[in-house]
Amino acid sequence: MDFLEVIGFKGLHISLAAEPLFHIGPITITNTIFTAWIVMVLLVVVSFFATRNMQLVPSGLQNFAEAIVGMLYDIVEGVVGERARIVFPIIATFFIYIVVANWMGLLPGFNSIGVWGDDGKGHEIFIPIFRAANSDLNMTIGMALIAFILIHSAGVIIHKPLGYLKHLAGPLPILILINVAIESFVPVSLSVRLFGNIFAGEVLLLVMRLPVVGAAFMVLEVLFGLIQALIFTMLTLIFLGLAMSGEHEHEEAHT
Amino acid sequence: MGELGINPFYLAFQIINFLLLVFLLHRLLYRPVLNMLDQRKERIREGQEAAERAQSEAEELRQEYERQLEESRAHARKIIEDATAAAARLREESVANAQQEAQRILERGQEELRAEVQHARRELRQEVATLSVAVAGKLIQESLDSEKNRELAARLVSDLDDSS
Repeated sequence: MDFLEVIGFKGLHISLAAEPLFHIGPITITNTIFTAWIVMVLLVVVSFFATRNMQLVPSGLQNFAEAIVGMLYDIVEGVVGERARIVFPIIATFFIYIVVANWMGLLPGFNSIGVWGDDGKGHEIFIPIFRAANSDLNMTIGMALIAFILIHSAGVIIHKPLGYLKHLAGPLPILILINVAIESFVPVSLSVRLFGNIFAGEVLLLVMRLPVVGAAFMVLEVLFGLIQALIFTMLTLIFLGLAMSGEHEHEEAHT
Repeated sequence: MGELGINPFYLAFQIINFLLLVFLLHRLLYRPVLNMLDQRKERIREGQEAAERAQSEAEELRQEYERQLEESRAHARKIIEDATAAAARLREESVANAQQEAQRILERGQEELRAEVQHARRELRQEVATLSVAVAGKLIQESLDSEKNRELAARLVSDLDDSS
């Protein structure tokens, strides 16, 4: 992918794939995995300090954690009802992880601090140490697969396997093909949308690295980071809510 | 696929990574925070219930006190009425007694006065009789049988009495 050279940014190279950073034994760690770890450590440390000494009258970090978790829980509960407690950890982690990873990707140093190294095919390339975690398809597809499995296992558990097939079929058995196709495209659209937005944002910021103009795009990227997290989370939640919705409700909707 | 960077190994790696994060956040963030929110909700509910209970108790107490106050007022009123009636009765009684006493004293005084008058009248009569005898003796200058004289005098006096 040397399109940057095509539009006049000679010497710059951005690859769709995450670049290998270092090796732990036989495992090669890419820069996106490295960033994902940083996000994880950050979230775990902040969570630890926020809930280390819980008070009935909250203050400081606990207040912040309660506000975020409470807001997300209300949203999840509003969609899936009383079973919210079971699915909440995954849904909430989608949102919190994606938004923090997206915003972290906007920090100075991302995509700009790096080393020259081998891309594994004998080419000498620039390898940034930090690269936004969601600009790696492995990350976004991974989360989309988790969402996919969550949605359909919840459907199967609630409706039982046969009931869920009926649920998918709806009023006409032939519709099951269309519904299965739709459901299969959900993780594809989820993962590619998130990846595309974040990757494009990185490229955009790299291309628009001019004073003032760059700042304007930075503000946009902050917004996009939040919006993409919301879209991923809300879509997963809505499909989950549909899969979990009762059989009788389904019939009522068509009568 | 290579150009897009999709790699089954990294895919699995990121999935495990993410699930580990879910687990850690569940342990460190969601569970404690949601428990705390539930606990607080419960606490607020309890507080509200306690406040409602206290209010209804206070209302009951207030009614009880008002009732007692009303009772006390009625009691006091009754005592005052009784006392007033007793006082009135007492006054009437004492007035009647005093009147009776006065009447009695008056009657006794009149009685005594009458007796006194009679006594005086009797004494006066005797005195008059003796005086008359003396006067008559002097006038006729004649010694008469004193027994006869006295009889004469008594007749004279009774005649005087009858004439007067």
